Amino acid sequence: MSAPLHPIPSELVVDTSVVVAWAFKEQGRVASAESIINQVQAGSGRAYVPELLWAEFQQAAERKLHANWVARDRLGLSQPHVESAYQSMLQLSVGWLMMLPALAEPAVRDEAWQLRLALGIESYDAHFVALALLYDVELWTFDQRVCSLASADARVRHSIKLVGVDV
Amino acid sequence: MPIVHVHPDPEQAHRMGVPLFVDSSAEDNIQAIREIDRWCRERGLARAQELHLRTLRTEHGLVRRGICYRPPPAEYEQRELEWAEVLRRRESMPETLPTDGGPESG
Repeated sequence: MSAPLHPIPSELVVDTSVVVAWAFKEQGRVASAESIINQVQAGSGRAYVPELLWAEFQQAAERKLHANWVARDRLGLSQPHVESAYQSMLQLSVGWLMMLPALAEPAVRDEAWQLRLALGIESYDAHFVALALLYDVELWTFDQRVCSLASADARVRHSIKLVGVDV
Repeated sequence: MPIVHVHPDPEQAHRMGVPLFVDSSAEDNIQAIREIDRWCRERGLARAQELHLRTLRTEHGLVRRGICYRPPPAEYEQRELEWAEVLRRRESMPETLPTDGGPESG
């Protein structure tokens, strides 16, 4: 078996952007996303996600439909395709991702709030980052905006790995 | 590693066909979940996927309790079937452009 494109650590926080890229086969990202998810499925690493993942995933799935309406030819996805991606995500989430109750954990909640105040990281994203920071694991993401905001704090930026750039 | 108590021991639980309690003295719920999960995986066990572990005071101090079990072969077989289904479904999925403002979306 060939070496994975992006070897994952034994534990990591997986951002919604990675799961979305995998589920919706996003151009320029799907190979990396598949590499990560395949390793998670094979048990090479434990992938933590806060329960907020679902809210973000649903938002992204809806945008895929909206994109279909706005730019039918370039971005379009039919409802059955979106439903299909949703089902894949459901199975991935139940079988291989490890959901953690970030919102209910006071330390994560407070850290996310501080990240929002200090760096302007949006609330959902801040919970992913807080989870990585507090439990000393890397957050793997495609989200350049979060990385850019985090760059103001070396400790935070160090915890976030931009897939395709940092890893 | 602050797994402070396991009852019954995994082999005994397996023979009896019952789950086991794994107690962690971790400081918070998430850390306890991680530790119990790791402890289980190292022994070929699975953790019941509770999000909020029960907290109780025992002779080992304040602990968070996870429930674990040894998955039967059928559970592994089912997972393989489910993953095959995911892969099959993905074959018909067309590529899309990122919609989150990534470099590819312009």
